[in-house]
Amino acid sequence: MAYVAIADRDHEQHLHDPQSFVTKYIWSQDHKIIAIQYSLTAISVGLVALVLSLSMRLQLGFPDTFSFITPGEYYQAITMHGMIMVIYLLTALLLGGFGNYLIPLMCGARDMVFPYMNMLSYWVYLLSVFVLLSSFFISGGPTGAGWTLYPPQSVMPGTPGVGGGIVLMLISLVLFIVAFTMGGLNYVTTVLQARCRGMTMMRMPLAVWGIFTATVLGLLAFPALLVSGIMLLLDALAGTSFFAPAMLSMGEESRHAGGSPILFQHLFWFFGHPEVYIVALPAFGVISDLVAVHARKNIFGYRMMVWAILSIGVISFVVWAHHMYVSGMNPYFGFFFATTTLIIAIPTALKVYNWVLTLWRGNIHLTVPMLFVIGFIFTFINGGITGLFLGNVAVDMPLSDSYFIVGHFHMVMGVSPILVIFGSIYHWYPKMTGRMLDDRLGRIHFWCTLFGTYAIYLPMHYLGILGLPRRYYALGDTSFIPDSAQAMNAGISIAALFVALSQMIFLFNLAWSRKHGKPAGGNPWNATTLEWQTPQTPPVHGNWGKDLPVVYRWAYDYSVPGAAQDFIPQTMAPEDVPRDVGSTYDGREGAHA
Amino acid sequence: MKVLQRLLAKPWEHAGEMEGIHGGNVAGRPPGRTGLYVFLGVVTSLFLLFSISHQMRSTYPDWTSIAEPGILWFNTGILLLASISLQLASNAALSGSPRPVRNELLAASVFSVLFLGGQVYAWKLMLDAGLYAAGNPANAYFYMFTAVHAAHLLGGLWFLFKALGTAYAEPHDTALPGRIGLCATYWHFLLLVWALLFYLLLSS
Repeated sequence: MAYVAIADRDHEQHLHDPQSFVTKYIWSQDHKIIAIQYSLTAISVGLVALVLSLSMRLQLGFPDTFSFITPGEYYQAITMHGMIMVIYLLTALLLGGFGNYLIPLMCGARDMVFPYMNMLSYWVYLLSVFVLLSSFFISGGPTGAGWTLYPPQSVMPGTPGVGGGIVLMLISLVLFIVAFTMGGLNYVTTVLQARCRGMTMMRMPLAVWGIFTATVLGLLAFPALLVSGIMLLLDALAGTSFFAPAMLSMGEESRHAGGSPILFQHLFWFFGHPEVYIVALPAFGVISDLVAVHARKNIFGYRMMVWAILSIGVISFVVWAHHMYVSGMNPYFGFFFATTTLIIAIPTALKVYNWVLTLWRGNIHLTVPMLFVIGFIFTFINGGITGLFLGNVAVDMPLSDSYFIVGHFHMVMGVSPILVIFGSIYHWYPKMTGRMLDDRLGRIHFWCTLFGTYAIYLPMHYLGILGLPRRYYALGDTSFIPDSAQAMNAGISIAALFVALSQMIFLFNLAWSRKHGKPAGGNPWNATTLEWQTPQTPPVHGNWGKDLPVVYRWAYDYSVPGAAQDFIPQTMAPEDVPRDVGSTYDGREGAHA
Repeated sequence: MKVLQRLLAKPWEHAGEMEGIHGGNVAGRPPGRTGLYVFLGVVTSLFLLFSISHQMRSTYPDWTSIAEPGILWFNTGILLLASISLQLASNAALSGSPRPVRNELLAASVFSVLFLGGQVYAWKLMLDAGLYAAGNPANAYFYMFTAVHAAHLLGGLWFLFKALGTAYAEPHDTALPGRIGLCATYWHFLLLVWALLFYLLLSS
């Protein structure tokens, strides 16, 4: 039988209509519901990680004041905070949440191409979260090996959670990778095969490009975590010695011999560095769309942006060992990885320039999403520039394992994507619910978050340059660290509490606006992309009614000279474009003309 | 070159141009096949990384080479037969002959289960010889490679059995040739992966 393209199929052929509450909202195969399930789960588990970070900050800011956090619990909090934030919040939310919601809508598809597998993806993800969190309730608690789980520490007695904690962590990671693979196959195949008529790859919004490329990175990089996870699990349970070397532990010889901890580090960071871009690329893509919509201007250098996304994706696989300079390596390798690290800054910087150039002479609307966009650009530049410091071997050595690193990666990988996530939720919430989020609460939330996070992380750079080591439960009487460092630590902790509390404004806004928000209409931001052109808001099952949309133009026709409106939707044929009186514009040339 | 041409397109020009650029038939193949190719990319990455770790670990002084059980050669032949049977089933399905489809699918299923049984027997031979996973990294890699490969084959068997069921219950199901084709591709791939793993086990 000849293959019938998805865009050519009858509406009825592709539906898996939910029949009951359970199939509509729980065992749902609808990408929008799955996106919301992913997002709510990720945000919930992210709140757990937020509370863990507060417990760490209380200890650091006010040592000897609180008795509820012991050194062991401190390391468990560090470990779980890091892993949850990187994997179970950011990756899950940006790909499982945004990917699921945006890809079919922005590509003009009715759903993901494998809806059943998509549903399974979410439930396996949820299971992985439960397995992870269950380690809080077992004897010994969760692992305290640090989020990198480096052996031999992670499998040796003396490390918190060395029994069940590390095993549950590794099982949870394996489950997460299975879930991600099922979701990732959907995202990639849907982008490649289910785009509507006229939606060429180069007409796709950059959000889709970012999510698509990040998914490909994830599909290729997560196997490295799976490989290292399986081997570490065998070291922990079966007594193998893939990574664990011979050691004397508490006066006794360990059962391991000959393993290579460095091998684990290579495998872990072969996943770990692309992971940075698995989080960053969707954020880059989304921010590109937000900046164009709210500056009423076409994105500057669209092609360059696509190439930059692809270049970053490729180069991200050859920079991993810059996380391992202090582990020791051949100087030529150090030189190689320092060079590739600096090279990856080029396409990244191009993207920053293009965002700024998009803003330049744009009709900037200082909406809440735009505030987050500008906050992101500032923060990403901050975090990116300190990354240039750390990419150089000679500068990295003294700064490694200090608070400079903590400040750097929280700026570039914590605050930056979180600002994008907030901006995106303010931007797309009206499409998801049909109501606007409250504007005033949004502005308060933005300023509290921006100033608060800067009050946390900027001083950390200074503390790091002072030599303040990271991961320490308490500093004690360390002669080279002045007393003022402790005062700064206390200030950082107060800022952290402030930022955490200010997130309650956001959560309240989400809940309150669901019922009481201003009705949004179908396209409140006057945007061009397909998700804003659905017949209903929120979009119903199947997204598009009887006929799939047809795309006639790229995603960034804003403020086109001669057009009557300052945006031309992708679905608008040239002959239908309203023109200014007396204009000779024929509806064909885009905003670059 | 086609990809490069696409990436060089200037999408801001020629709005409304629909001829020849994309009419909905994006890749000209069923999504299932694209999905399988993407999945094979993931599995390739997985086994390549396992292989690289094996190559690195095998250079350490505590590595002791082992003589792999001879039954692995037999098992390799069985997996080859399973792969050939599936290819024949796929060819028969495309030509619309239900009976050979059923026979070849049945043969592929039997060969695949036999292969898994043979791998389990190889484990038993290893254990009987006192070659435990914790004893030496070479032993550990043997158990790990065979187990991970078998897990992938087990996943494939789920789809193969479904296709077999359809071949008996609804032999004229129009989706059947496509499904059998996917199974054949997956089996050929797993045969190649096993050949690589077997070579690594033998060579170290």
